[in-house]
Amino acid sequence: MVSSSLLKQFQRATQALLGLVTINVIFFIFAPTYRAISNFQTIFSQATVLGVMAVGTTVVLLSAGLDLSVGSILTFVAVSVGSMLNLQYPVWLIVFIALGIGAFWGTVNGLIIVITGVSPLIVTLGMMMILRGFSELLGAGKDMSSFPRAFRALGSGYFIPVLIMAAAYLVVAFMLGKTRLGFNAYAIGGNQEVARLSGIRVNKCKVIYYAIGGLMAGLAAVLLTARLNFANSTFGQGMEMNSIAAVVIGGTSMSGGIGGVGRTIIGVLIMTCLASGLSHMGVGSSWQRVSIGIVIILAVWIDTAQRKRTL
Amino acid sequence: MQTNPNVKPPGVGSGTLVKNNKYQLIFRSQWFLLLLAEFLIAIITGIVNPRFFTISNVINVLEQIAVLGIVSSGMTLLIISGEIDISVGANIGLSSCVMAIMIKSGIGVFPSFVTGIALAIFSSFLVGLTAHTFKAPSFITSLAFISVFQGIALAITKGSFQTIYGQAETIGMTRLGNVLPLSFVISLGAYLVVHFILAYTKFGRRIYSVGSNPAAAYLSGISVIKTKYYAFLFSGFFVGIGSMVLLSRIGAAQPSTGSGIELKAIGAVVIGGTPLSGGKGRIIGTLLGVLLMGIISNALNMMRVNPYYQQVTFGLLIIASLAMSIFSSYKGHARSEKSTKKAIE
Amino acid sequence: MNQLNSTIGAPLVVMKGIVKCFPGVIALNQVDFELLPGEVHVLLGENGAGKSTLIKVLSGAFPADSGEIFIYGEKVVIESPEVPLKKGLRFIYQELNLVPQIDIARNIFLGVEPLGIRKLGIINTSTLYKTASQLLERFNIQLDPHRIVSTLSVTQQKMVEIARALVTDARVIVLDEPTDVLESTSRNDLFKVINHLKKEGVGFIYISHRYAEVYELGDRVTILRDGKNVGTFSIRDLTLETMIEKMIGGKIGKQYPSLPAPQEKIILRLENFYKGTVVQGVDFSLRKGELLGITGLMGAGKTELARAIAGVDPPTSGSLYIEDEKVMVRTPEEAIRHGISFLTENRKTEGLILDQSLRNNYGLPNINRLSPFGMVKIKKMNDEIDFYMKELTIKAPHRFTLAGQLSGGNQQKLVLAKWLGTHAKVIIFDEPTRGIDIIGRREVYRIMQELLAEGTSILMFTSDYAEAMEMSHRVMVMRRGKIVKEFPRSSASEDDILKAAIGVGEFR
Repeated sequence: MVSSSLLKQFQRATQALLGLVTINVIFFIFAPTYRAISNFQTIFSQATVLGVMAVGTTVVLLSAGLDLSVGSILTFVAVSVGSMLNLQYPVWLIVFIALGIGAFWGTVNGLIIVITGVSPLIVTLGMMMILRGFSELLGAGKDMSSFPRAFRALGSGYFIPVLIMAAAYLVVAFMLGKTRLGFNAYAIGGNQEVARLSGIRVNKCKVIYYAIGGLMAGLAAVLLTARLNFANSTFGQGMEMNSIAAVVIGGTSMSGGIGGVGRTIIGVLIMTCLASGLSHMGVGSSWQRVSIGIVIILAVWIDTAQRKRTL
Repeated sequence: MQTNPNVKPPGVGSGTLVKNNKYQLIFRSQWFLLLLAEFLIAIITGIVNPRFFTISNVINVLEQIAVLGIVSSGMTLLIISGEIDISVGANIGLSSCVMAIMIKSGIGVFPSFVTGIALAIFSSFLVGLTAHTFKAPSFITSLAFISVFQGIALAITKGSFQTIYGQAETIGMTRLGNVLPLSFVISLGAYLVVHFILAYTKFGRRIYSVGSNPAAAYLSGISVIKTKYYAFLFSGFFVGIGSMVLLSRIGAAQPSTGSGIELKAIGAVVIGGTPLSGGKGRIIGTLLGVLLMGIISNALNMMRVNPYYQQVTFGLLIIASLAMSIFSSYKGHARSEKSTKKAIE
Repeated sequence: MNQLNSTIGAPLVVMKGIVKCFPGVIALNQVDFELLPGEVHVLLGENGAGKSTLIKVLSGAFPADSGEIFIYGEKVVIESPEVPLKKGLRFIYQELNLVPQIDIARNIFLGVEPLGIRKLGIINTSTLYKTASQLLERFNIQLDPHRIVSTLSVTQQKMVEIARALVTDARVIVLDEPTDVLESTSRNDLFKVINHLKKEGVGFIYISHRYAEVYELGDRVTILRDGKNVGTFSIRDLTLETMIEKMIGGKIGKQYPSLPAPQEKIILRLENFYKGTVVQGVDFSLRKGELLGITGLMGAGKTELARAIAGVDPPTSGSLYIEDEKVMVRTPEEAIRHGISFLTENRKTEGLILDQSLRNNYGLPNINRLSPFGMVKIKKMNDEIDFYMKELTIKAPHRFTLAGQLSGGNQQKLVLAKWLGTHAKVIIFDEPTRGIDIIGRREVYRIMQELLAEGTSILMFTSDYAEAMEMSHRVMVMRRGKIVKEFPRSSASEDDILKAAIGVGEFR
């Protein structure tokens, strides 16, 4: 059942798939080092961090929300994890706490948005600032590297990270495709007032979606710190943009109500291949940043063009 | 049939009671509260640290809010017109880097500044242009342009500091009569220009109409797109002036220069009573909002609060004050949740 | 009430002393209402009488300021839409209330999805689609439940909404002007369903302004006027005439003024006007001081033609002549420059800025004239709006009153004032009196009469056949984007116009 709904999303995301194939063909031709098998292993393991984060962002965007603070949530969780690992806690507990912290900040975002009625853009932008401050405070002057091997295993290679990401995708795909919570996300994103008048507890649902977004950012932080074997307070800056870009390129509408995680994974691969390919072609990180901005604008353009056609 | 004692007598609410006390009302609630808050913070800080009230510190505050004030003036125009630009910080970064590089390479100060301002205007226009042509809300396109502007700034500076100490200090360092900073006078000029536009010009009236009800404005013969483009151009111009003042005062630029100012500017505008949904607002509110930001930032410094805590405080403060302004505007209005959704977009 | 033998039983819904105020208006003033099982209770009243507000109070869309509500004899506090839904009340609103991005089945089950594992909120999707298609079959709706709602026609969407109301055990169904967008066959289907459910004891609250429907379907009627309850009557005891009189609060007198004769000079001429597929080659000319009425069914292309002439949605092809000079009108801005004003049918959303003052609204199209070198002459603007407020008797305390606080009639007069300021040669009215009460209408007609006397020409697009017949020098009937018939003033009955609009007898 889950797989069939996933398959449908794949079909609808053929355009994104086409984009993915196109850029790969281009890089295959023009960047010889890109072709190596080892490079694809790297791409996969890199894609897991963004991938996990983007799952959460998909849920938030589907319900017509926006969370710009996920990058900073990642930073904060990474720094927290870094400080905890030196305390010799067991790995499972650390992962659990990391997810909890991520979900906590997501919940805080959701609660503020729901209770105050301030636009998510401003709330999460403010939260971004707040969390950066907290991360600096927490991470200042601490050595956060050389983590225990058991923890590093979560992020090393590509098998375990890809497995974790796949699990995240399956859970969220099930949530969106088979549960009331997921159905409500589409309804709220499509027309909040109709959802409210249909007896859906819009506010409660929204808080949960932001919490999921935060939780996934926490999980992404675990994967990233485990892979790099260190953590600091500049981690994850700008990740929120990559995450939004991946989701929108995949074909989830920024205005909510249309999309799903099946498409997001294609978006994530496009983003990762693009970054890898550009660096293999010798394009510096600053121009990569420019290209991400342009890609987002293009994705938004495609999004609005498609919406015009279907509505 | 029993009568409910809570029922208001009929007739109340029509005619006299609804008479327009709106301006007084706003003044009583929002602006008055703002001023009050500013005084309170100032007094408390003054008690904790008497140095707060020294002339040099007051000048310091005025100098520090100059750039924010200039940028917020432009942002006021934009927000009233129903648009928003969260790339102003990145825009400052890019244009001040360009100015610094040009000055460093020996091109004169004046042409460098002009070029930088022109670039800022162009960048801001791009945000508006993409928003319109792609029919996307401007907060999304401006979000994307943050990456673009920062990336370009990083590429042209190769990530390094561009210092121009002593080469263009006039604007940032001059103090008129040895007291009043020129930069603050420039920001006052920005407020005045925006006030003049909003209150006395055709363009100003159109900004309100377009922000309030674009459909009605269009049917009344107002070109919505043109009006919004102008708002972006003006905002870009103020961003350019802001970068110039900032560069001149600091004497150096880097890609991250100005980052974070967008939130402060939006915060100042909204605290000053301009709703994010557009169509309403006055520059005096923005001025008070900017002043609040300046006083708080200075007070935190005076009380020797860790700069990272300051960042946290600011984030909280902006969210809280926006929430308050939304609550106060909700009070008299029976609005549905749709208006909040509109505010997002 | 003794005649209602089919409706024995305790009332399903009782509303007592409901009061609801909006800024500047009392929408409901001490309204009582009662619904018995198995009856169709019609709520009748002019626009703005408070019908929809009463329903929205019951549905929890917004709370009442005071009053009590009993459902099945039990007192309830309705603080959110969940409360009445849980009690088995279903609402079908005037405006479409579906989520356009998701499919039919999901919309039908919105918020009440069949659960496989209850605790976890896991949905049984196969049951969902199966039940949805059974439900659609029951109403003769041939639609795939997987279809995305945004791809449906308006009628189809309305039917989906009705199906949605019946998906779970409903004991009370509220229908707010449901047939407005329905074709007549779907209307009959709907009535069949209603009569069937009535027998099962379901109560219906039915809002409509179609008198024929009231008699066809209703058992009792509650009439609202200006937010007050005029009374509840058995429909069989009420003649159409008394019903209307109670609704408008007075006798229906002479409505339409006499019209001054038009002059010879031709002001505006259309040649071969096309707009997409909706306007298919329209030609006509309009003389100075003439009022030309254009009418037709919904979807005949009236509004599209009006908007094409006014440059709002420019025509695909065709020429427009003003005083024998060919002009290009591609935006409202150009239309104003050439002396064409357009009063939209959507007064509140497109005509006025409701949260701005009368003066600023007046300034909208006049700002160009009033601001040489870009500077606004504020004093002149104030003088002008004061003048028009007096001239058109706009009832408002001050020029700084917000437009949203005015009544419908006064809002329409404000829209008029704003366009009178441009001193247009031709004024295009799209549905000039929709949603305006009888007194307001008369004033709008009087202003039209004065305009004509001053030599202004008027194009009036209306779907009110009586208005078209009695208020115009000439009436043209549109059908499928073409002008099919022309009548001189008062030469035809409403029936003749309707026949022309539908196309009866064309092939004879």
